[in-house]
Amino acid sequence: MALSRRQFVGAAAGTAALAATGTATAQEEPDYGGWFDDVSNYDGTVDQRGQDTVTITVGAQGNNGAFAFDPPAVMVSPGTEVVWEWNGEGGGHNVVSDGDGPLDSGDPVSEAGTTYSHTFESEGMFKYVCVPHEALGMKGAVVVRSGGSGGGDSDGGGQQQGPPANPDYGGWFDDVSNYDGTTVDRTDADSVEISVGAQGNNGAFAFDPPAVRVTPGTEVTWTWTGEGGGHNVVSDGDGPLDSGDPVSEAGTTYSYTFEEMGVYKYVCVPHESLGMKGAVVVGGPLDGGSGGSGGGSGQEGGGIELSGPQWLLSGSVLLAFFSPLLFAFAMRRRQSGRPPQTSEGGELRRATGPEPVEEAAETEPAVELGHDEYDPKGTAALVAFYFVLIGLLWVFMYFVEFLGRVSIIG
Amino acid sequence: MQVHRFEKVWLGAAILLIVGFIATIAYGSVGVGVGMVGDSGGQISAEAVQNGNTGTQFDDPGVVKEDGQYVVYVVARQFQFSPGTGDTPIRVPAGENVTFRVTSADVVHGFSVVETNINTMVIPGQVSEVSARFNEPGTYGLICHEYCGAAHHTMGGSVEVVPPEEYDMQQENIDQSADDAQAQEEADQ
Repeated sequence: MALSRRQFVGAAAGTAALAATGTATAQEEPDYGGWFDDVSNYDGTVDQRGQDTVTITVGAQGNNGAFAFDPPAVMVSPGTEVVWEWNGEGGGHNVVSDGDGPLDSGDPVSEAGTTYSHTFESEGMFKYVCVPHEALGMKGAVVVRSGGSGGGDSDGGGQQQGPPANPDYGGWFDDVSNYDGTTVDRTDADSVEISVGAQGNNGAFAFDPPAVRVTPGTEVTWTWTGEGGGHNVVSDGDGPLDSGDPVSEAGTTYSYTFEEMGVYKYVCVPHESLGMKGAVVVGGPLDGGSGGSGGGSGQEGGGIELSGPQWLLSGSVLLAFFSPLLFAFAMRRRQSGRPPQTSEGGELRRATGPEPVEEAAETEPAVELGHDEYDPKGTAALVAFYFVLIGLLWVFMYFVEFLGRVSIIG
Repeated sequence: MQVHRFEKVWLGAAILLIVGFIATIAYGSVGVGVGMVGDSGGQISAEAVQNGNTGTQFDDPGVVKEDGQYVVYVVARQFQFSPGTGDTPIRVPAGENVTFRVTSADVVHGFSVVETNINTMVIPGQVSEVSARFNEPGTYGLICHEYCGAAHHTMGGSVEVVPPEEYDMQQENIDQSADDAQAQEEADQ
């Protein structure tokens, strides 16, 4: 199949977009040494070279809450003033260099509109964290590197590929039940439709398809099914998608034309926690072959395949399930294989079992004891032992464990 | 009704044990002076704590000496004690009464000094006040033991108890370095 008009336009638009915005390419992506491994909203370095001031949002959506810097990784020219701007979400944040470094915004603050700025004069990589939320992945980096985003970027055909064939969504689809690991390839279509309120996530709380790949310039239309209550389509973090307040009416549509390459994640705000999330991948492998193979591998995974340990597990579960039946069967075999006359102490008595033995006749007591003559010495010894035990525990718990420690004294 | 003499003995012992337990509690509270966490800390606006404009020592939390007593102001926030977490442990002198005044800037936290009986909830809007005396120098762990969010498991810190003679020296050093920084700033301007 020859290149369709859409694909050709897409390739051209992609090149133009890259030349204009200059998303850092693979060759010049700095090596952060695993710094961004646990940062959910990291999706490549944003090249902002040539600008005088660059703004980074503090408290952007990401890392399971408002615990992210947006963009997390940014590349600037020497002499650029980088301004961190608090959006007031996610509690108190600060901006502090990882290890020794120039950044320190002081104690965490949460007020929206707070800003902190630093002008980077020398080249290098400046990693920073929000101290209270570092463990959640609230980390960022500023790469100061000279050179512009001009003609140097437009070499190499590899850039026109856009996001890879199987984009790394960074756990975005972990809780989305109707995402089967494949990105639906619709790079051949001029317009793509996604249904809102499709079956999934334990109800009508899904986008279908959740992940779709389109070429730049494609109009994506979300169509409401009318099920599952009010839904909307809003970009995760900063992004172009916003269908406004949730609506539930069937037939509602919202459309957006994606011009720039990238991965656009979006959610239905009321049902995000249920897993109503999606993504549009714009741009991609232009040759139909790779797209087709991606689809093929997705279909192969359809059947149930069990590896060795899974066989063992399912086998033992089945065995456990049927074990009462097996036991009953074994008992029956044993019962029928034994002559009914045999009688031993402690054996199971059944209706067909041996005749019950008559109880022995009560005998007269050998010696009569009066009330005061009866001495339960064993019981007394046991009670005495319990008292000693309680006393020891009492002493150790209260005097040693409790009073022996630093106590609250008022 | 006849009661066997053995039974009389162990009934008596059981009653004695109960009397002993109650006496122990009374001794702990009156003799040793073990206290409980009360509402003596008073109330505070959590929003002001968050924004640092309470007009109290919580705006600049740390150890201060009030009326000859060491008072530690601690702000707990998701997911950090300040001071306490990371490279800013709470430093207190050994052998002195130390009062912890802890409040939260956002959600309910816990303030538990590990291996001691210092343990209180930290409620936004309230100041939890507990006093204690550390007799031996050493380092104690400090953990938040009330679930406070996604990174609750990382919220911790430490309390360093230092000998009193070293403690004063550190204080002077801290004050001096603060003075130096101020002088530097003034010189820059």
